[in-house]
Amino acid sequence: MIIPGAFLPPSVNADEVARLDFGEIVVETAILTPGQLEKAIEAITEARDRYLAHRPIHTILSSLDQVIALWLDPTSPLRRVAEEALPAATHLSSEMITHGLPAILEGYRKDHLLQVLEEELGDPLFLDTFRPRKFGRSRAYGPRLTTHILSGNIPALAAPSVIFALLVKSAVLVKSSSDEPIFPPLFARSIAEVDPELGRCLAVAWWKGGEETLEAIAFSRSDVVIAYGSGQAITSIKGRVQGRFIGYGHRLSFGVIGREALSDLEEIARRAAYDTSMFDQQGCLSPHLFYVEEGGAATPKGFARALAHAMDELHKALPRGRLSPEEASVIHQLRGAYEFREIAGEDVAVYAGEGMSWTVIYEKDPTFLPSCLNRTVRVKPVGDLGQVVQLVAPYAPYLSAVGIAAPPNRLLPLVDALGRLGVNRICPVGKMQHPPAGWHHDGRFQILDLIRWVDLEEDRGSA
Amino acid sequence: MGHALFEEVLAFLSDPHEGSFADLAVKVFDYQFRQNEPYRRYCEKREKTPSRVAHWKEIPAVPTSAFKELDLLCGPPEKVFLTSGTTQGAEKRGRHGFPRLELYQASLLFTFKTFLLPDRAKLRMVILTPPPEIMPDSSLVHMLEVVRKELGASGSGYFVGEEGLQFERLITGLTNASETGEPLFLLGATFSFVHFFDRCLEQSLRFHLPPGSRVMDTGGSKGRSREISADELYRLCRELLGIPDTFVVNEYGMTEMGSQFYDNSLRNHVLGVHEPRYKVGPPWVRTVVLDPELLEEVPPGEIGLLRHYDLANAGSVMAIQTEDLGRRIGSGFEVVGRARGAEARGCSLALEELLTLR
Repeated sequence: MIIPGAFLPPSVNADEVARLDFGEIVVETAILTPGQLEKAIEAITEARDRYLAHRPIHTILSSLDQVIALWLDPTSPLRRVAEEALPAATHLSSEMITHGLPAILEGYRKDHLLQVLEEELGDPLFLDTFRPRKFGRSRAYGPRLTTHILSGNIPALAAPSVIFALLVKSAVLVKSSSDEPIFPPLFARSIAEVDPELGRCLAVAWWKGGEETLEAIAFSRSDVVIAYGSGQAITSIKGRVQGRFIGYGHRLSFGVIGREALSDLEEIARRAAYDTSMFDQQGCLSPHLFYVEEGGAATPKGFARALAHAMDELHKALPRGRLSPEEASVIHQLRGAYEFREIAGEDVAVYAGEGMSWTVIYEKDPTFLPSCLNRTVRVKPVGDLGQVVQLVAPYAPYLSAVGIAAPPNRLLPLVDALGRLGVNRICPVGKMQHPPAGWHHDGRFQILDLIRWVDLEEDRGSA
Repeated sequence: MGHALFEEVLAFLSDPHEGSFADLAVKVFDYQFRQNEPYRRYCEKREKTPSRVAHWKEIPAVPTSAFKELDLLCGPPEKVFLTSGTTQGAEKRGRHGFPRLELYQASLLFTFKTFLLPDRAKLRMVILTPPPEIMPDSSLVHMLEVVRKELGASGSGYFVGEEGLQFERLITGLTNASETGEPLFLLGATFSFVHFFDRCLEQSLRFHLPPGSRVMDTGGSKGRSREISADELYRLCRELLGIPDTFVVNEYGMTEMGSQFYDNSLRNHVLGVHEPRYKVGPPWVRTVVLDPELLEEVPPGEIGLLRHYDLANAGSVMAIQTEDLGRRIGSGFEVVGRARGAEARGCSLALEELLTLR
């Protein structure tokens, strides 16, 4: 199957083509010359000035809602193409794509987007006109052009990025990841199908990461650059962006199970297995490890066993995707090392799924350790929930979400301590991979970080 | 080791025409099952006991990572080798002991002679590693010392000291050989060759070593020097030393294994055999190529993880699951890469990035 990898204005005729080979799926995408990229940027920013800059926010919301509705419809052609093609690129299983794609996208329905606008701006109409504030009136203006440099681990990552940029009436240039160049152009097409005017303000291109000439052009024309990727990639891009830069680097998440939650062992294990298995643990919200409090109805090791059982059950419905030889070898070697440590008398245990389908490692030593991922999760005991903070402190700059199962009176002190450390999101176990649209990704704002405010102070004539 | 079994294995190593690998492998497994307690428990968990293992392919293989965690031995070792410290520094070092070093030595010399000295008894050796006094735990250095003692002509020696490569001494040695016409045998880690060649290039030095000169490199250049391909190494040996490609032989071995594998190029050249270059080991080793996920054999020619069954490991564990990727070729295999240090994709934190934090 051949999929177009670019979504470009009709005025841009890129003749050189790159073929990104994913086996059964080949993505054919344009290789842009600097001149062609300039032309694309010109076209979308001009379209933005003409069609988008003055459009009422409610009409944009309506169109975007129709786009999401399209994607939530399992019979829609673009959704079907995505479902067929994404497993080859992401290495996630078909079942995971079919389950995960709508799970992500349903969070961006109109009601949710409206809530984000209201939450962050107070009044969405700030984007349309001058509205009263405590100090006179103000209006919010979005960027003329935003450039989005995407990573490839989670499918549909493009959606929220593009959606929020369109909401603030920005022209959007997306650079797809080499690992997943399939969804962004499909998403752009779906927008163009529903709303041709919006479609004219979008471009999706691909170039090799670090292509400095093309990136220099994109960055110099952009008011805001948003990038997702490794710490190295973020640092490199940041250094070359003159305007506003928003970088989402690598992150770590983990879970905490309070002793009370162990009374319903099967249920809590099921939820923890879900958090761990979604997207094969490849997301920044995926838990690397669960700390389990001692003194509950089940021991931490008992939780590990229950988690193993739940992982196995889940694997049947939501199979793990393909592993590279490296990924498979790392898991095998890890299992071997722990198995021999157990034989040597250490307090560890390995629970392994058939093949390399999943691995749960119980380890008494509470030192925090990152996982090699692909459904490899550690379970470690703590005497008390509060001990967790010290244990994760060395990783503070990298912490993202913590899934916690604990009653409110014990949750809040822990949350405060974790928040101070740098954690940005605390949620129930089982919900880690489904943040609401308005979540403070890395503690930031979805809308406010994109806009600038203009204040109007009027003569009251009362002097 | 049970005296009888030891004698049997040693006899096989000394003359591989006697006996059969398959029979001996099963006997060695039985011995290891009884004498190597951690290994026995590993096998029992898998229900692979001697009564149930009829074929050597069923012998449970131990991942190389296990050697970092505990001693896997059938008896007290005469010598223990340690893996070199990795780029990750704080990581534990693997250790592999030999209760009977004689097995290691017999295997080493047979295979080395077969593939590196099929045409002559001895050669003057120029060794590009530190001597054993400086690196007593290295299996590579120990191997080169054995080889130097048994097969090195007079004047053989080490050319790396505490401070590093002894460049001037090397230049002198190579220049002399070019003049006297005595062929040289250079041996060492690939990265040492890279360092040496880089300095030669800086100083525009070239040598024309006499015919019969040869190179044995091992270990690859990753992480320790700029990376070079095999082709680039051949080119540099040709241009800077005057040594033809066929006489540049790569060794593939590991601390966890007693036997070694070599490129067949030199031996084939001497015997007049025309074959692609690939790795071959001694007759007491078998290698299988496995699907990384299922750990089942892949069709010949397909890439997979290498697993070795080595009788020279009779005193420890004979079946080793490596992290090396390769494919079968001819009567041996080609090593394609290492399956280590997998990077997480996208925004979840890369393991390597995190480990450098600590």
